[in-house]
Amino acid sequence: MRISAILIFCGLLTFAISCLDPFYPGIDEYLDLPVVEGYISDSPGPYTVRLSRTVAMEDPEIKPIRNAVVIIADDTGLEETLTETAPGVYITHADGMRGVKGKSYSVIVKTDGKTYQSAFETIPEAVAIDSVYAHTETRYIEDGAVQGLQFYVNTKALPDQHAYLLWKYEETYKFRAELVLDFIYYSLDSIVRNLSDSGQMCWRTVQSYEAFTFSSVNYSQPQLSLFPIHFVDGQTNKLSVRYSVLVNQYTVSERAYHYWDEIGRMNEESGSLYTRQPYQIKGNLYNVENSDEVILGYFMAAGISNKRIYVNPPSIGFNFGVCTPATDVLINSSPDEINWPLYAMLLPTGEHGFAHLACFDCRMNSGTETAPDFWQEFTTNDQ
Amino acid sequence: MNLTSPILKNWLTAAFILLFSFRGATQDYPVKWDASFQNLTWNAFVQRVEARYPVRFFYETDSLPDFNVIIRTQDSSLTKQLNNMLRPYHRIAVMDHDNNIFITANTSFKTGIPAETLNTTATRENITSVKPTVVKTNRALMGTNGNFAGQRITVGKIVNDNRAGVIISGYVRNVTDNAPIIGVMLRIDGTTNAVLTDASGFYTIKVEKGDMQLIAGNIETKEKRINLKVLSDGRLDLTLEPRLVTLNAVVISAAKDQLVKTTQMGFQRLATREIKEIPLVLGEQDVIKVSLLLPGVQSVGEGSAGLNVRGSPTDQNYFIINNIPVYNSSHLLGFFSAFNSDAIKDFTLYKGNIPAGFGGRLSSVFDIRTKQGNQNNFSANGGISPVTARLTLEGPIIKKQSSYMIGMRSTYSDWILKQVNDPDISNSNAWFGDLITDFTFDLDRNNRINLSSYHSVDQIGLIDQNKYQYANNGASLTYNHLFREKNSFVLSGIVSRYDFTEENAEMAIAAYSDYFNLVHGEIKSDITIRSITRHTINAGINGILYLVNQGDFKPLNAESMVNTMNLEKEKAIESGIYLSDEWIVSPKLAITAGIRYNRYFYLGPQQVKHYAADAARSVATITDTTGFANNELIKTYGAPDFRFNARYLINERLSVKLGYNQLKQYLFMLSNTIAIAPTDKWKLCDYHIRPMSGEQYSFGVYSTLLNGKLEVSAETYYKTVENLVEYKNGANLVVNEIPETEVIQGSLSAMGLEVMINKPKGRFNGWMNYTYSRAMVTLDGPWYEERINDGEPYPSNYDKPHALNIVANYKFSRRFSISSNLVYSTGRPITYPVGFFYHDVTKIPLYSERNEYRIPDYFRIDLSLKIEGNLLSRKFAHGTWILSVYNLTGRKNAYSVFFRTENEMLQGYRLSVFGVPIVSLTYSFKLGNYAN
Repeated sequence: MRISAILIFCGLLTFAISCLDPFYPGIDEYLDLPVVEGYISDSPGPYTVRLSRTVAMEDPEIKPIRNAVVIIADDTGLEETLTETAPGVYITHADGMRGVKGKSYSVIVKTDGKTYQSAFETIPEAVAIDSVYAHTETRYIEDGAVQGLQFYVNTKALPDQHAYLLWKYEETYKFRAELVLDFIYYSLDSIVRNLSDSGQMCWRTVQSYEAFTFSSVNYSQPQLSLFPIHFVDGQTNKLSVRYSVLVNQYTVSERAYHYWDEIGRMNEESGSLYTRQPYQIKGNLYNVENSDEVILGYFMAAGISNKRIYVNPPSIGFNFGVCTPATDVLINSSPDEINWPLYAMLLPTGEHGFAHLACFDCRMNSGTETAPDFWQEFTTNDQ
Repeated sequence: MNLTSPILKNWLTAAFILLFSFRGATQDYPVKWDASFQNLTWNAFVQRVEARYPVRFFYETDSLPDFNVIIRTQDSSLTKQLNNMLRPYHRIAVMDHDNNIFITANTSFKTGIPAETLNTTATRENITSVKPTVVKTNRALMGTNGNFAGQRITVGKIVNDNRAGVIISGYVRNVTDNAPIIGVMLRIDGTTNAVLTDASGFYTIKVEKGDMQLIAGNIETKEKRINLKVLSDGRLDLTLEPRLVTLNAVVISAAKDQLVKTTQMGFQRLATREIKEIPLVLGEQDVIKVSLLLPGVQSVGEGSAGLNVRGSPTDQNYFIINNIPVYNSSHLLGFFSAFNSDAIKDFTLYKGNIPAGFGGRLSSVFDIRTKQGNQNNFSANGGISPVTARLTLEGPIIKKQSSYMIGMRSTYSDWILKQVNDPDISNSNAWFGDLITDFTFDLDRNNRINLSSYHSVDQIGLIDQNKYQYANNGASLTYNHLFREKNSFVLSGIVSRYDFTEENAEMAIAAYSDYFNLVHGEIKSDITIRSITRHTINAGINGILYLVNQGDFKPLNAESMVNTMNLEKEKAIESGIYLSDEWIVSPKLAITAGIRYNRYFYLGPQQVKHYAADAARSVATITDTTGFANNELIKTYGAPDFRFNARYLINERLSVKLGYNQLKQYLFMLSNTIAIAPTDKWKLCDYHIRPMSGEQYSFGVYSTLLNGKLEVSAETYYKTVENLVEYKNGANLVVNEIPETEVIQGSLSAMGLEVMINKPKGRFNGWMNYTYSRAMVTLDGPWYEERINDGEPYPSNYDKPHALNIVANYKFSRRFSISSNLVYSTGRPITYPVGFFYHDVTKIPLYSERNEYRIPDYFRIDLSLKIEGNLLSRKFAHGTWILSVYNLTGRKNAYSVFFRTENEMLQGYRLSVFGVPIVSLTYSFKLGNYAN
């Protein structure tokens, strides 16, 4: 049962008083384990393998494993050694190994005198994406209902045997600084009129933090339609100007499906009254010499299909403003207390309205002022 | 010194006076008042007087405050002295011809009984009858004045059989509604000889021929003393008056001394009337939830269905109501129990020695008995709480012969949800109702037929996405026959079914409905033989037919693209035969020994999969399939269970008991959630999954202190379960054609020490218990998937080593009382993330070993105030208000602590179910006055 359902239940009994509150138990234990993660697919490389170690709850900084030997091998004995391009990130050469449907692949990692290897996985025939589209929908979260866009996938024909699909996505959205910067106060005496228009329009690209899974076992239709993937909250700036999503659909092995499906389920059902016992899920890696050692992560072989769509926000219903210019900053604070410079806009009343720089400069919100190469301002199938 | 209860209402006295003419006289007795009497407590004073002079005091214990006796004059008259010292307390002492001293309020108490009623009927029968005779006591006499000890009744006839020991048996009934009373203790004054009435209110006691005083009573009734002249075997039916003065008492079972003297251990009986003011969530009275305040009973968390008794999983409890098994014992997914307390008389929880007549569940039996209808008058009671409205009707079908009882309860709160201005809530609904009926027909003195039924329905819909509907429906027909006065034969036919439907529309393309159903049909016959001196022999057989539909999984609507799947239907027969003997070896030593043999037949039709022997069972390791025809035997299991327990009385107030118990269980709940989920189904043991077997050793010390005011006991147990059914990590049980591939069978070992102090009576009453217990699970199968925590023992989900419960009730007056609970327990074990790792940008929690951590400790205080309506004796109906606050301090007790990835953050949360004080007001009414 989903978390939302439980919360409603809980609210129903306690007359809508929240049952959830943030809580951190003191967990001092830290289990230091290696993580190997990556995939090979039937689309051209380079392919990436990431090596890291697990991190403690209170210290989220990624801990890459550097200077390892990472090899991708196929079932015919062909192999390629990957190059570390960034700490813990190993990639194949652009003109190097190319995944082929029907062949099996494994990753071999040598680090710290140990050899880890993944079980061979075969690249299945990719199920193709037919279309991706969005509907305006209401979602129930802890704070109540929110409006936003729910994205769906339709696939082309599923194979006769069971198909296991995994989706990840990459969002790119264009957004505007909320307010226009007119004045910069370096001090009470030094007020500069701002003439630059930089930081007004930005793009930002984010990788999905979540994965969606589907198994055609116990499924009746020749193709998958209306499969719900991610939901974009209408109250964020993602849907303010123009939004694009690249949906990657991976056709994977049953084992890889199970791995991702369990991770998703454990995350989703964790807060319910009827949760299962969470557990450390096993991927497909093992230590060649010592089968008892636990290696986290998964190296999968996937058939890939992807689709990019663009969405212009609906004209009504969404609300993303978070910046409210304040006029009383200089009245309420003495000049010594102020962290100069201050940023202000000219309000229709003639007053100066002060706000955080992030309200005036979209680059402060992880944006870049240059559009990505693929970006299109208009497409024929815009939603 | 003995206590009795001559609190006579004016109207009762008046009735009495009208019926009989008295030869009333106040006697007196010369007493030498020396200094040893001075400044004694009243109780000590009474004891000393009784010790020195041949007098006996009779008074109601609670009617007098504790005070110290001061002898002011040297007047030698006992009654004058007594009256002097009792005057400030508005009490009068009178003495009868037999030197019995009665202490009563206000009205003078006439002693003696009319000579013409004495023995006359019995004597005549003694002459004319050759059969073992029945005493025809004057019904009006026995019924009207339950406390009167002056009379002497002759039992049996004069025979020259040289037997010293004879047997008296009969029913004990409630004078107001003629219903049999369970658990009344009958004992012969001055001896350790005591027995309890059984489930039909029947008792058998072995006595020596001669004169004696029989004392009968329990906590629900006034104590009655009857002077007997026993000549031979005979029958003596008794009527007892309900106890008025302890109406407000919060008490656990047990007549005085019962705890010490009975051979039973590891059991508790709670009567509904005794728990009315215990504050519970939303003011809903709930006998089952109250059992959580008893030692050895735990649950995973607030609002979760199911109880964990002495370290066992929830599916090892057997809930039966008038013999009807109930397969889902909770309403509203577990927030309330499925039993309407108004219709329930009491329940007995067996958690240690389970009598040989029961089988089929390893951990406990909740034997719930409904009220039987009033055989004399129509009566109704009911009430309204924030959640439910309830109404119970009862009355005679034919006066003094047959009766009905119908208890109804339903939520009315659905409309409230609709008023809430929150779409989540107004689009949800929750409704439940239950109906309990009981029809009893006394065909004659020796034959009774009882027809009972139980129905409950739940309908829950959450934001139009998840719908749950489940229902229990059951009935039992019981024929009860007494033969040769003291032996009984019971034949029962029982049916029960559980139906469950889930509709899940969380994802439109995968929307499904799933239907599950279990049918239980049972025939059971028991015989109790009491004619062998010092032995009570129980024997019986039963057969249960189980029919289980494991699931009909269907697309919910046209948009859904799931396949229809009809899982296998299961059929099995569980049969049992048992024999047990309660043997009173000597006045101090009593032994109960029993054997039960079960055989289980798992029957076709079914397609059974076979798996490779060299790997864990999974789809991939299926080697073959065998088809079994209808009723063809697929697998059979059978084993004997031995049950034994013994009680040794060290003295009148102290005993030790030990016990050994074996049980088997042939069905279990398919559940891999930490608390029972609303979607959980029952599953029978099958070709692959072996029956669970349990063993328990227990030892206890039982004592009454302060002249019976305080009961203290300590019990320890050690218990093991083999073939415990557990599940592989990540098992999917919602729709699984081959659940055996997800099952792991392991073992459970549990131990504990339960200390209980109970003060059942008095203005201030209640109980307190502390339990230290552990419950460890070991899952160490031959394959990797079948091992959890590397096969090492780990604490079960409900392992809460320290638990303290205090239930206290203080009665300011007849009309006002307050009651409070204090509950503490160690937090339950939990699996925490001990770090996380990255898959690209996704943070994935890294989990500890299973149940390596604990959530914060649990602590709660509840408070309730009960206000009774006026105490007028002549009125149409009596009302009671209970204002209760659950979780008074508003402590946010954790139900669980969990971490969830939200965007890039791993967020920790505490989920508390009742994290605020929950205030509720409940109104109850009944026809008639306060006392009825």
